[in-house]
Amino acid sequence: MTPVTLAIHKGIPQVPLDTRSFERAARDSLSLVNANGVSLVSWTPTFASIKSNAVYANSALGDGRTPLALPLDNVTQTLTISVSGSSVSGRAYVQRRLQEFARAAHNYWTTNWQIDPVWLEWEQTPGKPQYVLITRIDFAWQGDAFDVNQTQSALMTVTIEHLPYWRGLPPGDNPKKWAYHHNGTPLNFTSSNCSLIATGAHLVSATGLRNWMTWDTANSPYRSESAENFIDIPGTSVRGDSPALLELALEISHPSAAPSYTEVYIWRSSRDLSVTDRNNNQYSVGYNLNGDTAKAGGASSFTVTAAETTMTGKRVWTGDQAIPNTDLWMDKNLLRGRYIIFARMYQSTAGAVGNVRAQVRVIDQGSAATNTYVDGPEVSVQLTTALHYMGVFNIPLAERAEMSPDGNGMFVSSVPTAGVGNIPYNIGIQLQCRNTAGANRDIQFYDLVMMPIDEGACRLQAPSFTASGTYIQYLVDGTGYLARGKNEAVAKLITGNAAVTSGGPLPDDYGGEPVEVRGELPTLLPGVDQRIYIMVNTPAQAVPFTSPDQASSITAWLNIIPQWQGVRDA
Amino acid sequence: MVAHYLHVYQRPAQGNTFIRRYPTYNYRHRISAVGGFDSMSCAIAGGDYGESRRLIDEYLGCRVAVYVDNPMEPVWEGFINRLRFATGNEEWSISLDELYNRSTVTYTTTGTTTPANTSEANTTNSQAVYGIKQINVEQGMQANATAPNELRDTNLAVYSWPKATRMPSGGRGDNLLYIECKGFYDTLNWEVYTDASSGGTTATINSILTTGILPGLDNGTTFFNRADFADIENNATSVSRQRTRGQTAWDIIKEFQEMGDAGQYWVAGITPTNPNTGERRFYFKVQRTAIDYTARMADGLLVRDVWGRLVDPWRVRPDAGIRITDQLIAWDGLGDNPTETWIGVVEYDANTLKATWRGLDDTAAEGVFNLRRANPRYGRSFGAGRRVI
Repeated sequence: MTPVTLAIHKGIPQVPLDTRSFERAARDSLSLVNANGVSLVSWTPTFASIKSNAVYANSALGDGRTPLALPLDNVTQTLTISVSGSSVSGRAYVQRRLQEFARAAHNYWTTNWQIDPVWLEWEQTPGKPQYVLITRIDFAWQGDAFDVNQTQSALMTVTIEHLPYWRGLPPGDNPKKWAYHHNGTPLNFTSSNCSLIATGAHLVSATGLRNWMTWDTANSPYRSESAENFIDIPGTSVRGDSPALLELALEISHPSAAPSYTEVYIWRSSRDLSVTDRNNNQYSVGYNLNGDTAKAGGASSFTVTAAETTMTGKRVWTGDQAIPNTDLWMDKNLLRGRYIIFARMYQSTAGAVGNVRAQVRVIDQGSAATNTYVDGPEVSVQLTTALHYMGVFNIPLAERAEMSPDGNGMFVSSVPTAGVGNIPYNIGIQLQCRNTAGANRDIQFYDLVMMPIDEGACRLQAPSFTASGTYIQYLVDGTGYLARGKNEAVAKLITGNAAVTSGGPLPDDYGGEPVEVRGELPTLLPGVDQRIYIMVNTPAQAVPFTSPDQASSITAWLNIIPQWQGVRDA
Repeated sequence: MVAHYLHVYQRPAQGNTFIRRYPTYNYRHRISAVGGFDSMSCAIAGGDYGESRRLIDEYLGCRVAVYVDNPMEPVWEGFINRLRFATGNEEWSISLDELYNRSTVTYTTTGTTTPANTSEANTTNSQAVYGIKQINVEQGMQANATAPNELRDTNLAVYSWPKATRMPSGGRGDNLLYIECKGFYDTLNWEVYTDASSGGTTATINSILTTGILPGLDNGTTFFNRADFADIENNATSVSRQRTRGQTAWDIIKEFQEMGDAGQYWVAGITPTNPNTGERRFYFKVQRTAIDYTARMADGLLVRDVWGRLVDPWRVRPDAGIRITDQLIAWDGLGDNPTETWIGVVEYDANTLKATWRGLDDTAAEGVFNLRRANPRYGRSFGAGRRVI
């Protein structure tokens, strides 16, 4: 079947009805299919494959080899086109046009001034075009210049190298446009609704998010959340056959004055929060381990006595403890993954930083601290509310999942059922503390936050700023919109910084404050139910979490650009 | 494969502001038990020729951190010590190696036996950009301070600012900016420590470190918190206070570290930045002997944790023990157990995703490690003979 469209383009598509931007009104294009005397004669599409220098562990002492990294290489397409017309000038025209695109593509990658991406559009199935960023164009004439019979048309070989993934939108295009495509209303996308930081038809939105997750205790086992710190993304929202590029806008609001949140943590999890076993029993788990029974993000307090000079478990989560809360199933398979664990706490008694040292212990196979365990690094407890980084942990400790010795495969523990609430468990987590001051010290403890980093996690680190108004806005983009087509994560603090918003009345007037992105902005898995988690933080704020953080809520607007390694199917 | 990103920040003497992040190519780093983050090299792509040429000037001395999958802890951090840029026919290069903005000369006046130092001469403008970096030259016997002062001032004039050099590069040019970095412990080499106490005056090592060397660093808290002594373990060995030979702070610390204490091997250096406090500090402590890692000959010695799970190679750290689990598995613990090694240095190469570990040239570290792991040799060749009842 002949492609409906195969064309080379240069430039960022203009948003319909836009009258303000500097984007060129029309992009430059060259069709390779039956237009202006150019027609595609033959082309066997090529798709991305593993790089030749993929990394393997390869020992002379063992069989085979173990893959360590299998990245995809760029793709090279070889096309044969026919250029009709016998005159030299006709052929020269096509050659000149190809040369223009080649030069623009090469300059896009090797200079700073050429900012218009050059991309290939391929529409094999009507209504399902796909786009990819071109890195290189070469071309050559076929045939002999002395061939007197070559009077009507000339064949030409065009070689195009491009990035591994095709996108659902042209490189650099507004990712919100995809939401309209996804919902079957692409013509409704105009400049009046294209904003990434305003309410509107985003692909996925969530309001009223908090800085923690708690289960609704009305039902046991728990079936719904009373507070969420994540955006639920159904698998049906993410099309494509490859990870989708993510764009996310956050509005963190407060009834009176928004705190100056300088840190935003974003991570993805596709693991289940609740599972139902073969006996129809439901099990629930969470990534916030609260310090009290209220499970509302409030503080609990405990004393690290002068006598406790060695690490002592002060908060123990195993499922059989009255305090803290016992609603979570401490199960290795529900919790499996690699986590950063944070502790939100502070020392409320006067003294010095480090009067109390804390560490997290993850205990395999039950509750006894003498069982198999791993300790994180010792951390000095701060004097003001702080997000304490407690280290990186693997759960379970040894294997990637806990397999049933009975041969049933992966399982969720159902016994023992001892303790409060008959909560099963097969893994324990402790917050341990020791006293270095020689006098009692009180700790206000809120929760442990488990942040999985094996599916992609990043931290947006803004410069210190003075917040103004009742909300602040962050925008982070991995779709290439803010990077003019390139696959670079770019983040900005848009609204809420007094020093920045003085630039003008609208975000268009000042563009936002650049924000550092540490780590990898997650992508989304196609066809998989998943969640994007959000946590905000203000280092060393003077007021405990109970005041500003509990009153703050987060609105999230999420858009994607789906990607295909093969032919677009949706 | 998780990308390795180089984050560039202002020079420590100027500020702490983030500038930009770059994907890296050919990334390698080395981390040592003695020193800490030791060296790192990688290449980054400037936007074009002009930008790469410009960054040679702008990035020299900047603080860098390399992030992989954990946004809280960089896998390596330090400062840019050298930049190279191959244009095709020639290669530009600039380095801090020959930058000195404080100059002194050590000499001995004829007829005396105690070396003396000239007063310091400083280029404060340069110090405000790069921090204080001192050159001290030994000029031998001198009649008076005239010649030493001349040499001091000449050195200051010559070396106060970095100078870019260029040389033929054999036609190779890839538009990549090659970056070579050093860890912050290297800045302990930037200042000379002097104590004019009489030769017989002694003090404990702890006292010299916490009341002499560290508080005396004029770079203050530019590169690490010199006033945070929480990672200095007690070493009460009494040594002479007198230091007039133009030794740098690191020279003296290495002296103490190699001396050890009570049969223990010691390590010293600068900690990674604490993710909770944003602070780095000096450490001086006994070598660790816990086995943190395992490896198997069968898979080419990929580093694993004690449970057998693969450790991301960029996360492997020195000053820990590693055990090979599939060779000499019936070793009974007599003598130096060849399956257990103390990691003195970790070298990581992102192209091969391989962390290579090794001990130190100083075999004492490995020996003490094994002795302390209760594997003392008691054959005829070592110590008392085996007691047979």
